[in-house]
Amino acid sequence: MFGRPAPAELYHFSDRLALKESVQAIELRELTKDFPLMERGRYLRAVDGLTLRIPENSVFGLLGPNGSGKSTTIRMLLGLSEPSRGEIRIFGASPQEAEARRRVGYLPDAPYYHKFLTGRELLRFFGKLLGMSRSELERRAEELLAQFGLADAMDRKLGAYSKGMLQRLGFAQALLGDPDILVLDEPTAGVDPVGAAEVGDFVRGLREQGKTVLLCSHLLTQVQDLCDAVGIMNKGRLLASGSIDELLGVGGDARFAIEGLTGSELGEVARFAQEKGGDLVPLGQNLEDLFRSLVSKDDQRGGEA
Amino acid sequence: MRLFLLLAVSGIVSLVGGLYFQEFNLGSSELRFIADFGFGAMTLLGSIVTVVATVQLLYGEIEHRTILPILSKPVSRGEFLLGKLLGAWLTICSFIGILTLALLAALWIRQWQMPDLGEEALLEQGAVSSSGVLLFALMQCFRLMVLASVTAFFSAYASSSLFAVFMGFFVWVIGQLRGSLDAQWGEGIGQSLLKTLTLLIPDFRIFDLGAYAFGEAEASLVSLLGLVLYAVVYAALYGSLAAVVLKNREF
Repeated sequence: MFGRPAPAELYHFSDRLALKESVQAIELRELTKDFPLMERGRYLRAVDGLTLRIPENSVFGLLGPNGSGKSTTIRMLLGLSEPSRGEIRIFGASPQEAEARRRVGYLPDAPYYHKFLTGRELLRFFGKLLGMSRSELERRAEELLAQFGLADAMDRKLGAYSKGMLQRLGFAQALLGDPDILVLDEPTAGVDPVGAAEVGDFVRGLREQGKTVLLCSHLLTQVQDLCDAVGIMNKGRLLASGSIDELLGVGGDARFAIEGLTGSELGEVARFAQEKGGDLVPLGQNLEDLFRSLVSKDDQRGGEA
Repeated sequence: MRLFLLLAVSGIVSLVGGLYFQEFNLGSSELRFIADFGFGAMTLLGSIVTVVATVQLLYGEIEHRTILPILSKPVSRGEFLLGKLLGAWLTICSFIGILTLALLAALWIRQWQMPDLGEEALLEQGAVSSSGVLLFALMQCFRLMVLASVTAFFSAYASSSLFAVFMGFFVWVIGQLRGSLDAQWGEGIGQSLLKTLTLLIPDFRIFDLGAYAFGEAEASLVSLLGLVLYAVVYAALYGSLAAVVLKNREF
């Protein structure tokens, strides 16, 4: 069971994370994004006052149902979209600065690459955009293509690549400039279970190398295993954020189970909680339960409103 | 590769077509007919290739979202646009180059096929100067550079490729007619205002220097430099507008 929510009805543990002496790789402060609608003066709020801090050398999972604002947040983080309000910092710099973007590798949610290029040509193209020297680029491209099992296919057109191969090529291009931050948008989308497990191993490897990873995924079991902390979004708002252990109540003080009571006694407890302005929330055993509980509760609240 | 194949085929078709259709000329000289045919191909096909290639290169990236991983790299939107415009212009210049070679070859073949005529007879046949053909081709490259910038502006703004293509062709047609329209304007404030507004659309007709190839006019360096400057100013204007639109575009 959760304790009484904060006034904004958010479960924030990120402040506690921030107390640790660590460099913030990514900071989002009151990030808001509005999209104007056809109707005059009306807009759609895709992201609503999102505040997050992601420390260096950590894996952060940004979770949420479709349309919750994750992709919009990522696009603002990459400088592809301007926030309507609030600010974003990548190691203290704005993503509009080219040098800040140099420190970020991005794996898009779908393979948005030129199908007429070969795997090697694609990496050459991105390497040139990163300003890499020819010799360094050739060495790094071959190394990455071999690392991701694409050595035999590097001179084949991308149109002939399978979904899994394109995904692996996406990882290779994201890592090309040896970035400090990796933004992985749905890295397991369309990948078979073996491939998904490989993605998990790869993300663990990144953390061991000292990288910071922002991961968006619907595979919550995997996220629970991989991530140091998560943020759960719905309708553009952050419902909860913090380390997995804190959110699931392991060692925390926010959640507890009630045992040994009859149905009527449980009803009294529920009434008591409601009188005090609280509520009884089913105890989540894992991240998936917590996610579903938070999102459905938020949806109900939205429906009532 | 496919594009260059298309360019090569277009050039050869133009060459063969020029040689074939001269049988149907209505009294004008054969060489001049072939040259006119080649100039027409450069203007018409060049404009089509320019609009389609620019929309494909710029809006195609937006439509297929391949722009997302590109702009997430340390590349500014202005640099991206400049790269695309240079790519489009290189394609256009290659196309014009192929057509020019095809036209010069067609003229040379036809001259070679003709019975051994004297200089006077050749003049009666309407000699076409190679340097005039090259000058026409060069000016077409500049004209199409302007058209590419205008199309890039609409591509940066568009939400469908059809719109960008339509607007590109629309400006091309209006630009070809602008010179004729200018002559029609009367006096009065309203007319003057409209005349000023038409300055927003480049006059493409002034780049058609076919007369120099037929020896009907003399090219002066000053007027040619003025034409180049005119093209650069319009290309820069529409290129800058495209950059502003692209900078504010959400992805």
